[in-house]
Amino acid sequence: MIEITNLTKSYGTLKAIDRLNFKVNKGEIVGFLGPNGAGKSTTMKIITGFMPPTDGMVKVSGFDVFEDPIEVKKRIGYLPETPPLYTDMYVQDYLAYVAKLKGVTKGKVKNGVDTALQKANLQDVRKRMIRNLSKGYRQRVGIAQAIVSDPEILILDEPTVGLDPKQVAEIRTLIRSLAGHHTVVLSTHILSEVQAICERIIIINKGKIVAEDTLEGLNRRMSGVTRLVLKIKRPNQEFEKSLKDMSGVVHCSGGHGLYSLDINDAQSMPEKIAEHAVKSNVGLLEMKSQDMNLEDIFIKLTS
Amino acid sequence: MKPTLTIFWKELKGHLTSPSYYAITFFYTLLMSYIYFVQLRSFSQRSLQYMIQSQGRGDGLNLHQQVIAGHISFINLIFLFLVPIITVKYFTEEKKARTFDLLLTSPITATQIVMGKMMAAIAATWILVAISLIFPVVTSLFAQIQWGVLASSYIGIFLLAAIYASIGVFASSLTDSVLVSGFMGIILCLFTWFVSWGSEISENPLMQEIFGYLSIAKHFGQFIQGSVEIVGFAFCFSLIFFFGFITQRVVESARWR
Ligand SMILES: Nc1ncnc2c1ncn2[C@@H]1O[C@H](COP(=O)(O)OP(=O)(O)OP(=O)(O)O)[C@@H](O)[C@H]1O
Ligand SMILES: [Mg+2]
Repeated sequence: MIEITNLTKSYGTLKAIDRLNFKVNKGEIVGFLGPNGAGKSTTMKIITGFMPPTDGMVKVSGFDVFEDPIEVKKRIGYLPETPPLYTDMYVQDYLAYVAKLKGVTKGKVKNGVDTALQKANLQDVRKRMIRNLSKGYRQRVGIAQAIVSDPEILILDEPTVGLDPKQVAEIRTLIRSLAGHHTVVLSTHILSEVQAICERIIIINKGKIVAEDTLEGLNRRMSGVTRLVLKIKRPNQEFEKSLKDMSGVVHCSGGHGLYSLDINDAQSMPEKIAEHAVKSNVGLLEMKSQDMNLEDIFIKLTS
Repeated sequence: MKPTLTIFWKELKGHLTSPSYYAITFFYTLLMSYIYFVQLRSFSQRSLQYMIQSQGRGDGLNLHQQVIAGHISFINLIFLFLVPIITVKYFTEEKKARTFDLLLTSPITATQIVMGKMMAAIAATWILVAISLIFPVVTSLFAQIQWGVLASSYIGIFLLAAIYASIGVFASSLTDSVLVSGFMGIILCLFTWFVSWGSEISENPLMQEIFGYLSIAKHFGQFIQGSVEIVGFAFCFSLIFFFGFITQRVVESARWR
């Protein structure tokens, strides 16, 4: 469906993306995961035909983005980083306009708008002016405009930014329900987001792909190390030292009663550590597992 | 063609539902009424004097020359400033709100975007020209109007308004700042009136002729005098086309930046 070959984009001397190669198959949901400035948005802007690359090729449904931009753009629904909203329009008029721009035939516009409103859960605000909507609702209007033309491919740049947790869950459910019928590429810097939605994950850092795997594959690669946060009431040097020396603790940082522990076995280690803390009588207050941040994942995946 | 019309209707509806367009129309009409009334009053006084002096002989003073031509020149003067202000939002707002991204990732060409917008800009200014027609029409109820000359004058002002609209849209494509684009639009509109001054400094007779052809004052003057000439049309259309073309180039190049 989407084929990317040696894609490179330079802004002056800065290489935003550097020889990317990947494929997205029909009906897949692919997550594009990377920290700020990794080049996610840049890649998406090139796929959608918004801007040309410095080098390399993008093919969508067999059409080259730069030779047949119109054919490609017909097939793509795109939610940019900033939702492209005409704030002085009413929600439903705006969606109808986008549908017409996307080439939806006249008889189907109304139906497309109704479906998009329903899917993005916007029926209540359909007659409101976009200017008066909250940020989360605007984001949803942004998602609605991407799906209003019922495109084969959806490119969503950080679709859940600015939403409250309930809406995040709703939007994730929505995106998952789009799989199969649509091909979805979404970007995020939240690991749990791709874990919740995507079937395949492409991790990008500093313009280069550092890992590309299925969700299970990635989880397997990640499962080696888990991070625990430990909080105790009466810290003492002896206990800290014993933590560091414990077999199974890969890394221990922190102090003054709050520690962050990388452990190599998520099954048995928490129990052992808890027991140790209780035995040492340091006053165990809290112990919880914590998501590793992206930097740690990169270090892990690339080492 | 369909995307062009989609954009055209959206932009035109945008004007017709925007309070600022109505505010502009209101003050424009108010100002025009005042000027027209003053001109008509002084004309009728002068006419009366003339009638007394000439003891009823002769044709009387020319209403078209003295009032209608002034009315139209006044519209032109307002439009030099007003039209760039009306059209300044066409691209600046799209760039600010990032909706330009939507246009550039939709299956439409830069030509369609520019054509749709130019047509809407021209329509929005033509509405203002059409409103100004009320004054001569009402005058015709109690005075004799030379309809032929009136028609050709209005063709002239319609064409001129379209030129200003295309210049305004072009100016708005250049930056994302309303202030800078609006200012450039006004300067460019004014400049169209001064291009022909180049003939004063050029020695070459060919150049003088070219500058003469580029004189908007000359062509507009002819329309106001009641002579509709092909060359006048050609001049106006080529200017509109020229600004449409360079706007298309600017929009197209936006992708490459
Ligand atoms: N128009 C531009 N001019 C110059 N540099 C740019 C431009 N757009 C992006 N960059 C640079 O390119 C790099 C990649 O940017 P990009 O927006 O693709 O990152 P991203 O992965 O989307 O990050 P984020 O998570 O913050 O959205 C960054 O270093 C950024 O500073
Ligand atoms: Mg981004």
